Amino acid sequence: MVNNELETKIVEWSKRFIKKLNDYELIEIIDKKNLSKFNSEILKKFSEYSNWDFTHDFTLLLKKKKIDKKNKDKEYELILINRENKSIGLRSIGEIMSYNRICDPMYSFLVSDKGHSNEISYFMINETFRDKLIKFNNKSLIIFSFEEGSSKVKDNSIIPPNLKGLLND
Amino acid sequence: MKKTTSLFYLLGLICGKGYILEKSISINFPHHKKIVEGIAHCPKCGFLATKTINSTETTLKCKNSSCDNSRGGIDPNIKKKYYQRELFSKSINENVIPFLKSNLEFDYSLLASNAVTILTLKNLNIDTLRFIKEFFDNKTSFDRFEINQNLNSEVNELKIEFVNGLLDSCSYPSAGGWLNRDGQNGHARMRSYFQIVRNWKLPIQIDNFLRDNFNIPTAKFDWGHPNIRDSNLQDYLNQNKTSFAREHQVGFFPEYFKQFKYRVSPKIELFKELLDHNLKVNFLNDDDWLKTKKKITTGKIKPNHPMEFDYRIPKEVRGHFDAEWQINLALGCKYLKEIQRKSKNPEVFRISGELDEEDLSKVKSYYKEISENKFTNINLDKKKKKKSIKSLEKKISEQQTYKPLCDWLKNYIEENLGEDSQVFDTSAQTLNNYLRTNLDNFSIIEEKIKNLEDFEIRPDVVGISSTTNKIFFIESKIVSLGIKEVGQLWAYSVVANPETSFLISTKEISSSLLNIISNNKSFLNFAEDKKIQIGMLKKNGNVDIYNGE
Repeated sequence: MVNNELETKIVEWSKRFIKKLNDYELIEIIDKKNLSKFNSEILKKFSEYSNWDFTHDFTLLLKKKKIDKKNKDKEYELILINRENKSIGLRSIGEIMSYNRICDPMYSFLVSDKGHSNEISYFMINETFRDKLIKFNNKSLIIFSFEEGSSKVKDNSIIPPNLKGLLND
Repeated sequence: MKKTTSLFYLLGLICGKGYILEKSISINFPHHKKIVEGIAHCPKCGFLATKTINSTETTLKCKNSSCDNSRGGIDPNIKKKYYQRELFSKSINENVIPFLKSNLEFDYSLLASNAVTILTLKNLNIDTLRFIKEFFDNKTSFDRFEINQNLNSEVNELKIEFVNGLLDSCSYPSAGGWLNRDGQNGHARMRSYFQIVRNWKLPIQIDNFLRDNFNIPTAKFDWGHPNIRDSNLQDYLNQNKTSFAREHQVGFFPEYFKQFKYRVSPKIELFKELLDHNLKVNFLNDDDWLKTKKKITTGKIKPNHPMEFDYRIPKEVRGHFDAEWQINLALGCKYLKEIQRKSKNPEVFRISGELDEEDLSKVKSYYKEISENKFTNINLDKKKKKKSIKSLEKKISEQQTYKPLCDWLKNYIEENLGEDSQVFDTSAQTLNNYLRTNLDNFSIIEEKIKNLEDFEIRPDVVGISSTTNKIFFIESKIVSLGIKEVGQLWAYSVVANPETSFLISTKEISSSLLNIISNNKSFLNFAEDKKIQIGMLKKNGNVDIYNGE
C-alpha cells in the first residue's frame, strides 16, 4: 500500500517512465512484498526467483511487446525501486545493490527526497568508487530525487549524471 | 538418454527441495532442529510413553491406563537422540552421492549450516541436464515443480526411486505426529509427513501419484491456508497474521511405504522406529483421509478469516474453506472429483460435502451466515498476547555481542596472521574518529584509511593487525542473516577494502542466503579475491564461518 507522498510520487513517475519504454508494457506494480513468496505466475518465470527472499519497496513487472528470439530477448523484465525518507547512504546503496546482483533487473532506482548524504558524496563523484558501488552486470543503479510538490525528477539529483537523458520527462 | 534409477532418484530429490540453475542443480536438505528424538516405549508394557504438552512434568507417562507407569515415572532419556547436522552430511556423503554416482557423472559440493545442508551438483552430462529441465517443464524451483505425467508410464523401479528421492528431500518421519488410535496391541498410529513449501500443486499430485501407481492411501492434509492453520484466528489476534503461510503437510502411515527406502539419516532410523511401532501395534483400518465423511457439520464451519485473500495464497484457493479436503478438490484431486461427480449438485458438494442436497442457494447462504456469525463473535480487540518476560530476558542485544566478537577477532588475527592486533568496538562513533582517539600509532595507518576520513563508515567491530596494519571489519546482527544484511556490509567493504569483512549473527544464516552463496560464488565479493565471511556467534564465544575457504 502506498503510504506516503514519496511513494505516491514514485508510482506516478513509474507509470510515465514505462510509457517512455516503447517496447514494454507494465504488467504489475508489486509493492513491499517478499518476491520469493509472491504468488505470480509471471514472476515465477524468472529463474532463481525463489531465492529472492527480500522485501523492497517496488517491483515493476514488464512484458516485452515484441520478442525477437534471434536476439534472445527476454519476455519479462523487472525494475526495482527502493525509497528512502532520509538521505541516501552506503547502507541503502548496499542493500539494493544486493538485490540487483541477484535479480539483474532491467533498471534499478534508489529514490529519496533528500538526495544522497554527505558521507557518500565523495564516492559519487569519484568514478572508480562510484562504479564499484553502483554498477551491476553492465548496468547501473540510478539514484535521484523528485522536485518538491511534484513527481518530476530533479535534474541535478541524478547519479550517475550520464544517465540523465533516461530520466528526462 | 538412459533412464536409470539414479536419475529418477535425483528427479525425486529435485522435486522435493531442488533448484535447477543454468548449469547446476542444488538440493536443500533442511534440518531445523539440532537434535530430533525417537519414540519412547514404556519399559514395563511396551506401550507408547509421552509427555503432556506444555506440562512441567519431567518424566513420561505410559499410554496404557492399566500400566503402573500410566501416571508417569518413565525416564525421557530412553528416547534415542539423533544429531541432525552431522547425520545429514555423513549420510549424503556415504549414501546419496554414491547412489547418484552409480549411474550419473557430476562434480559436487556440500555446504551445511545447523539448519540446512545444501548439495550442489555441477558438470552433469548435457543430455541429463536437458532431460531434468524438460521433466520439470523448464521450471527452476521446488516451489513450482510438478510431477510429470509421463512418470506414470515408467517402469516400477523408476517410480519407486522417484518416491525415494521425495522422501529424502521433503519428508520427515516424526515421533510426535501420531494419530490418536487404538490398535490390536497398543495405542497411537505413527505418521510421517511430506512437508511441501509454497508449492500448492505438489501435495495433491503426490497423493494421486501414490494412489494411481502403488494403491497407497495418505492419511492427512494440512494446508498453509488461514482457515486451516489458524481457524480460530488465535495467531491473527496475537499479531502473528501470516503464521498460516507455512509449509503444507501430507501425512502418511509408514506401513504403506515399506517398498520405499530412505538414504538420508536420521530419516532412515526414525522411519524404522515409526514403522516398527505401527507393525507391532497393528492397526486394522487404513485411516485414509479420502474415505472419511465429507459433510461439513455446523460445528465444523470455520469463521471467516481476514487473511483468506492474502497474496501468498494462489488464486484457486484464495477465499473461504471449512475443510482440508475442499482445498484438495479446488486444487484438482481426481479422486475427490469422482466423488463430486456422483453428487446431486457438484457446487453444493464443494461447499458442504453433501451428496444428496440440491438447493445451492440455501446451502450457500447457510454456510456464509454461519462463517460470518462465528467471525463476528470473535473479539478482534482481544488483548494482544503478552510477551513472556522470560523470552525477553533470554534475548541477547546486539550491543552484548561486541565484547565477545572483539575477543574472537583478536584471536582470529593472531591465529591467521601471527600478529598481535588492536581491536575496537566502534559502534558508538565513526571508525576514523575512534582510531584517531584510541590508536597510539594512528599516523601509521592514517594513509591506509585516509579515504575514510569523512565517510562515517560504521561496522560494529574493527581490528587492525599490529605489524602489517591490515584492517578487519565485523558487522554484528542478532537476526537471521539474509540478503539485506549482506548488502549493508557490502557497501562499507567496497569502500574501505578491509583485509577481511565478517558478517556475524547470533542466529542461523537464512537458507535463501545459503542457497545464493552456494550457487553464486561472487555474491559476497567486495574486491578481487575478497569476500564477506558469514558466521554465527556461538554461546561459548566462538564463531562458525559458513563460507570459509
